[in-house]
Amino acid sequence: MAADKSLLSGSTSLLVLSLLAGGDKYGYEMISILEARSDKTFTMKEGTLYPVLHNLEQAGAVRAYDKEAPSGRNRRYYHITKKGIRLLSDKRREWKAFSNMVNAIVAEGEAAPQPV
Amino acid sequence: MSTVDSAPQRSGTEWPALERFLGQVKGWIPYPPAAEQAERELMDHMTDRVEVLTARGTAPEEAQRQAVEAMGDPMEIGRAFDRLYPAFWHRLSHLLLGAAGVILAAALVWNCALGEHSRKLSTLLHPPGAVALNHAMFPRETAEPELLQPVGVYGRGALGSFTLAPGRDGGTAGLYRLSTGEIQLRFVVRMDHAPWLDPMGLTARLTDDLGNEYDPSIGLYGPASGTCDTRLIFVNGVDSAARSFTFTAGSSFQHSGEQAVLYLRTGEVQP
Repeated sequence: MAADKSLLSGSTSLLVLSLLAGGDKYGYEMISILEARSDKTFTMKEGTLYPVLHNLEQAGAVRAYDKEAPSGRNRRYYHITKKGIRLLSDKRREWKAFSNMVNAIVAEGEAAPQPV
Repeated sequence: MSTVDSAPQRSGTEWPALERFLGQVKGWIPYPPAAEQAERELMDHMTDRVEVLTARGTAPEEAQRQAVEAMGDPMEIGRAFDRLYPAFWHRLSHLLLGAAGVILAAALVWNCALGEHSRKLSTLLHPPGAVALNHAMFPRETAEPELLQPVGVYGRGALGSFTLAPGRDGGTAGLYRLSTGEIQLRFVVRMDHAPWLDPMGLTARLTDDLGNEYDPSIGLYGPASGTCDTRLIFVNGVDSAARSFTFTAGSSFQHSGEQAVLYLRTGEVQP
């Protein structure tokens, strides 16, 4: 089942920073990991990843650098900075608080009596 | 994860659908460096996608179509980049840089090339009857001293960040008789300063062909800029029998050993 894209729109930065916390990656690599881990549930438009990465770079949360792959092709890798790690921690807290609140409301709705 | 590092690199012209998509994205990014960076990253991404799909048996044209479709709306991507790298600031920064260059050039021309006009401005700024000497004000001779004979000043010398040369402004270089009866040698030196080099303190001494040694006074003649100024150099009590003088400027750092020397000959007019 594909997720509603609007659910992803506000959390792309969180996903990107979470992926980079595990090591430096280039754009296509991030999309591939995201698809594999979510069993293709996350089907974000791939081109929108790059403005997000550049936005994080301008904010100092990530640093970009070019590195030659074994094939000889240069790829633009992204590295999470110390500032990015702090930002990731903040975003994780926000996400947990948000998801806890949504879960509580959804659970309450499930327990309520169905209309006749 | 699917990686395609081992796949052969292909130029974008082999994949016209990708080129068309990139052209649409770049159409929304007026800042050239941002457009080039976006093009490169998006092309790399789509190239990876096409190569993975073709490796799985998808026809090249269909692989291109799927890769472009997966990217999303080119307008949305282009406008997102444009918001990050607005061309307005790019143009404004160029405009401000250009304006700063014009102002700097105008200031240099005013202070260096138009020395005579600048000196007139200095006359307005300095009180009449006084001359700036080492940033202090000293009384000027009330009576115009008598020119005994002109002096030709020759040579040019570099001293650290300074370059010394005979000055063109400041009246006739020569030996003058002051109202006190003393003989004064006076001439002007143009000093150019390279601001990117470390400044150094300067010392100066004057000797003549009779073996006399003098301690010259140095005053600022006209306005100074960061790169050049004119110095009035004068010595009272010189020997009127002397026919030539040697002005030597050195570094106040005792062991630098650098010197700049100018030669003065009486009876000759400043070239």
